Amino acid sequence: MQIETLIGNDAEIEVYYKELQDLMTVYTAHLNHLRYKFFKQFKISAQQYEFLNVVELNHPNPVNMMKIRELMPDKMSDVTRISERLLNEGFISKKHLEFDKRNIVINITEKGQQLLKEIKLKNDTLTDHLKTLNPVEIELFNKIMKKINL
Amino acid sequence: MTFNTNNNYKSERHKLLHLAVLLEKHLHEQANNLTKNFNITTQQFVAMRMIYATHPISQSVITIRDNMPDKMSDITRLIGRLEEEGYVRKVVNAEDKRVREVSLTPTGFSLMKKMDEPYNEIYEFNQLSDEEVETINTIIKKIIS
Repeated sequence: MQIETLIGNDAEIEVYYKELQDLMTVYTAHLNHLRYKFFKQFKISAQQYEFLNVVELNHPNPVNMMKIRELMPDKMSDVTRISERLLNEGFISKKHLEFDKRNIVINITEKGQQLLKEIKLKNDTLTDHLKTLNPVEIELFNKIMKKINL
Repeated sequence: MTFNTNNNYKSERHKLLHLAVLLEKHLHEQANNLTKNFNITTQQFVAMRMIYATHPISQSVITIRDNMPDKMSDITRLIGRLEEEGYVRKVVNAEDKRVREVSLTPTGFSLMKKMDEPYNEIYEFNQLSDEEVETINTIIKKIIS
């Protein structure tokens, strides 16, 4: 971008950080697009998949909505709306707790588990773009990412 | 952000993908909070940042649209909204009357200047050493090339 040339890059370190910013923006946008396209073939969104995944991790125990929100990668997701869609499609089941009607717990249905299985069978297409990396580079990336501690 | 350790990864590649998704959510959340504080949307910010990069030289609407990371956004409406808010102004290209050029108004420019520092802070990643930043740059470049 031209802004860098306008400001002038005295310190080389500064450039690395600027580059990181640009690269991350490009890669994350690319990734978003890739995931959007991938999940579309299953007629669900990436967020709905993440929701299902959280519920599946706790199966056979049901999970309440607050816990699901907490475990979702995106804390700002509208879990109520996501759950309605998944409920309509029969991927999850919903139960009100007897002692507290406001407390709703969610469990995954057989149909939901089947869908997850199908997705996981095909999800290598999502990692195809990482084929240019060797195992050492993948490990390095993961190590550094963990350090950011998202 | 909590890292869900219960996840069994199919491979290290899938782990990388998961970490990258978490990173995306994190950056998105941060950018969202920032733009909310300045009463603009994230998409408006991205578009204005692009015009800011070449300021005072204007850019055509087409260039901005092609460089938006989110290809599905309705750029004409987005620019129209920014114009209404007084952040950008649209002019007809002198050489080609069909082309609309967009540039920042003084209000738009000063908003971008004000947002510079908090925006860069999102990407500071103090936990990383300079070497690690260099390494991660090399790896991401290899992925997207």
